[in-house]
Amino acid sequence: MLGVKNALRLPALFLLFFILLGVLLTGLSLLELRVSHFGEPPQTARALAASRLPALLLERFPAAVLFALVLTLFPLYRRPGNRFFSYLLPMGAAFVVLAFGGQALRGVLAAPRAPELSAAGYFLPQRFQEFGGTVLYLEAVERSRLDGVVVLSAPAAGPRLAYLGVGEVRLAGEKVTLRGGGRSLTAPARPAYAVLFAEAEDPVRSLLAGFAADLALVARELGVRYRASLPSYYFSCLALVFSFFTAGVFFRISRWPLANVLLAFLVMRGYLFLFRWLREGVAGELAKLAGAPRLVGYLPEAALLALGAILLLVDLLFLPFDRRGEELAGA
Amino acid sequence: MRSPGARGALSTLFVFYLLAFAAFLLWSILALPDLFPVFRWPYLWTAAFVHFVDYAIPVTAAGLAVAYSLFLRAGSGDRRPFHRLVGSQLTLLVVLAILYTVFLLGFYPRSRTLLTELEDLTRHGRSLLEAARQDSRQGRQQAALDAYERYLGINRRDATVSGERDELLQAMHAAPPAVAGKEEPPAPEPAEGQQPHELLAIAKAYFLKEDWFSANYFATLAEQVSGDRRDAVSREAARLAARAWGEISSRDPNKMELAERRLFQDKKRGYELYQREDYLAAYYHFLQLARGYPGDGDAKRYLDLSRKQVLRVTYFLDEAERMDPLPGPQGLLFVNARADGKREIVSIGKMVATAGETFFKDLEVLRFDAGRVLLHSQAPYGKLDVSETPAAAQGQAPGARAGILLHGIDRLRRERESVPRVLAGSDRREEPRYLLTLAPRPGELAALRAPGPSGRTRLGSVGLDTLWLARGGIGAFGQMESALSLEILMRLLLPFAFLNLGLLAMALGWSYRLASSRRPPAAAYLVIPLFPLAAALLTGVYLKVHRTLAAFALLAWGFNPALIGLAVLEGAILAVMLIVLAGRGAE
Repeated sequence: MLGVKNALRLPALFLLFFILLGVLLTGLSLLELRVSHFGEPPQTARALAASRLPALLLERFPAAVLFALVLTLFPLYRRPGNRFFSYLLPMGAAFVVLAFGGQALRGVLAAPRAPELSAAGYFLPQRFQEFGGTVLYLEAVERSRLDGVVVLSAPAAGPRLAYLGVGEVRLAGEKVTLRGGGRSLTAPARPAYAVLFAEAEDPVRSLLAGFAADLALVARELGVRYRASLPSYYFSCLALVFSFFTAGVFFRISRWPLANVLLAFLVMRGYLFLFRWLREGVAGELAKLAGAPRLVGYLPEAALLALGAILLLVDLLFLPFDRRGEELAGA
Repeated sequence: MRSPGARGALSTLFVFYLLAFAAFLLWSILALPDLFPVFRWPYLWTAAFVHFVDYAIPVTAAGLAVAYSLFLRAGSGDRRPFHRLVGSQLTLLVVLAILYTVFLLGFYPRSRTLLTELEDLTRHGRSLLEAARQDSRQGRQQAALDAYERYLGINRRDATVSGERDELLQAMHAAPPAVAGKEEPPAPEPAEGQQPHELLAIAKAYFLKEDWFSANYFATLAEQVSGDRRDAVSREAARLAARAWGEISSRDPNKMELAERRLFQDKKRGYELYQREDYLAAYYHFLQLARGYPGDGDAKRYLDLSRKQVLRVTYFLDEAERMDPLPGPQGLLFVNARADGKREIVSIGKMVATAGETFFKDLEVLRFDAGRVLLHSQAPYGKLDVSETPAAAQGQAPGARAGILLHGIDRLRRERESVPRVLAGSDRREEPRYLLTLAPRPGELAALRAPGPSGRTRLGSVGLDTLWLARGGIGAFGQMESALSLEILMRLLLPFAFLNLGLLAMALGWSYRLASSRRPPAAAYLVIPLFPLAAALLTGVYLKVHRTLAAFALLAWGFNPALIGLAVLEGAILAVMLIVLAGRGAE
């Protein structure tokens, strides 16, 4: 009875983790957006946040579900309950939230029109700022016109400072172009205060950026599947939830619990990498060879399901469910 | 430590540090840039140290987690509550956090500066060598020799180039040039701090000894020191100066010996230059004279006096060039506020401060107003002048405290000098000297870095004290206050992150420790190198979240509330971590 009770609390814990993570991830993203666009007037900034909120929610939603599922694995193996229910309930809850919650979100959320951003959001008057490999200084910003523009080029033998006078700014997609004084400079459209989040390039930051990019790809792919057909969307959700949950087998793979936790995280990270690799690399090549792009399109999900099934079999056949208890009893 | 488990934990942490440093050294070797051989090992050790401080938090967290999960088992020590078991190690963690803070705030900024500096010096040295060889080929022997000397000042162990320099010297049939530093230091100014009547007494004594030059000098000085007072001393000093000058003028050179006549005429000419305040001409004149007549006291005294005057308006180029190999802040950029409303942007390649003197390299000034360039000029070197600046006369903001002398002269040769090169506009100056008056205080300059794609890289080499000093008014110099303030907040946060994540790692390690006394299989140990990586990712997320919160607090409420908020947050996290740690059972 205690085993069933322990298993029953898992969906509740999952929901708690999911809500906390959802709020945290979305909240931080909104905060970052607010800081980056601090140069905009408050109404514009609020309208911008409102317009980006649905997209942000949809992007962070799968990450919140998958992370919450991973966090649920900790109490699951700490106090193992009934094995059947311990597997079924959290996995079921995660699938329901990811599939139907995502569906509901997509149905309910409608993004208001994004406000038109002016040059003022990208340039700070009377402050030096990095702009496409150069440093820019300007006296004043008035809509798309910049006054008193000075450019500092990269170190060179000749003069580095150049006075451009009046400049005209054009925003085109992800790029900002500045023309003035016979010169044209182009840089990525980065809000003026986004520089506060710029940090030195190092391997750890690259790993984190790769992790975030893979999670964003998963969210995008779910959106694509949703627009294509509901069954394919449910299939993707199932593959993700099943594979992540069964990776929990690594929580009991060896006698050393901390190493197990690390291995489990590595495997989950590997799933995301595999998903990207199959989707962006292998699937396209296979589609060309096999000539069945629709079927090959499901390759990432199929691979995740297959790996999940193997891990589940290993779990059921070779590993004791309450390894910790057995170790303690043995000790 | 009290238990074998605790000893094992400590040893593990030590091994983690050792291996991490070795890994960082290897990383530095693999990523070693193109450097002079003499710089390679200093660069490698410094780069390994910088990486070590960069990753000290994850390495410590990983070491603690592994140590606690592997070695600190309930069965290994006596059965005591966990908090008592780890009490001494908590102290160790606090000590480590203090050491980390010292490294981070004390040695780290200088080490980062040194890394950039060694790379720049190699580039600069190579260009000097190229210039030296080119000058040598084209027969400009003196210029070639100068460039060789400067190159060897950077890469002193280059035997090949040293040989090339010696060959050049032989070709020039000259001994190695007298190094400027070997010249005698200026004699102390005899009149400094003395009263007019004392100066007058000295002048009278010289007058009696028929040393007319000295008598005239001291009498003139007494008159000058008296200022506007027209008292008896001042009037007598004026009379004595006139009489001494009369004696100088009335002397008939024809009655003197040839050598004496030449010396007298030369001294008189130099003295006239000095009296006309043409100090630069007087300096070179007396320099020649002192060389020709080493025993002549007048020549020596007036050489010292004119040098002192010259150094009020210029600097010696060799001194500036000697600063090339020394480390200092690079890429300075600021708006130099002017009271007349005109904008002036100053770019400085490098600043080197030694005891008492500060030199600048690669200066560029762009002054503009109402859509047109008023002045655009470049100067290879400059020297900080902290003497009183006639601020109002130069259109500068009141209270300007320092300036940069842009006129460089050769210590020995008049032909060589460096003045700002005007690229556009006009070089109309309200005063005779080439002086760039500075709006920022000298202590603030190091923080005024040109922005780059990465704020951390840019400000990482600036000390916390400089950042703190500059933070208040940095906006007036065109810098983004929030970027600088955020850097301060994040730097203050790091020691707390060290402590908090260390405590979290202890708690995690203990929670996921070995359940039995049996060791894990050997294969499990293979994952140990992955722990620092995982800890680095965790640290990255922790710091990213803090950066976002701190940036928002900073922009929304300002620096002080953000600082207080961050301190409260870190205190709360620390308390939670301690509670979590204390709550771990010993079973």
